[in-house]
Amino acid sequence: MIYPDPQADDPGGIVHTSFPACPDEISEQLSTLHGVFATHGLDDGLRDTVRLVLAEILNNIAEHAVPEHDGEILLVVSSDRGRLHILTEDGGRALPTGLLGAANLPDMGQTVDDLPEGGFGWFIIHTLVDDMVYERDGGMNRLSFSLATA
Amino acid sequence: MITSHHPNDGTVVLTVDASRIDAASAMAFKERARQLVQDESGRVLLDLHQVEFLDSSGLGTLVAIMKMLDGGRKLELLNCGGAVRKVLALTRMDSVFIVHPPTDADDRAGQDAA
Repeated sequence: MIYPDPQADDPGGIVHTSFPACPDEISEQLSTLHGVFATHGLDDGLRDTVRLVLAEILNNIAEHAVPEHDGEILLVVSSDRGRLHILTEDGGRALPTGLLGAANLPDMGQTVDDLPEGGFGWFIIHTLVDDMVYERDGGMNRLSFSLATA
Repeated sequence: MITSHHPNDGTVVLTVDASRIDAASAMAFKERARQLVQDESGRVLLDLHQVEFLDSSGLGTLVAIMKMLDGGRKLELLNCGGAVRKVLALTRMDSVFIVHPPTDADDRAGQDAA
């Protein structure tokens, strides 16, 4: 897979940014990106999907890979031939492989008190994305996936 | 963050005064909601008309708020936007809460409960 090179003349490049791996920064970034994607003509449904999937991925990185929130996440988004390609990189701990397989909805239990308050994140990711790739290389986590733009 | 009003006896409407309920804000929302519902014994409606983004932590927050209601009361959601409805449907949590259909009337909750 070829990732966009920020040094190259890349007409498909939309985002190439890095930011601290903490929930507050992630929240602000996603809000800003929601506007950036609109200027690139992505429709509302796709923008909502990208924001949701990225929120789950980025917050998982902040929670599991960079739990002290002392590192940065690189985010690269580009479009090519009808697909949006999204890549994240961070220098944190390896992500738990159990998170990365197919995910089911958490057990709903029998009563209100049994209802799950977490465990939805990877279900959401796997439901909306079918080509997620995780690589651990040279102390870096790299996650990449794509979404159809039309 | 959240304001409350009582359209009639026994019903409280909590209006979320924020555009997102997510990992960054989930804890603060839970704390604020706990203050607002602890003395309520009737219907609790959460108006989400300002919320344009809800992630899995935000969804967990809604579950946590419902668990604060004793007596098996369900949390009722008002004015869910498209992005919120999508998350509720995707996770099938739209069957766990009472999700009222979209309406133009901001005071629908009061009329419903009257």
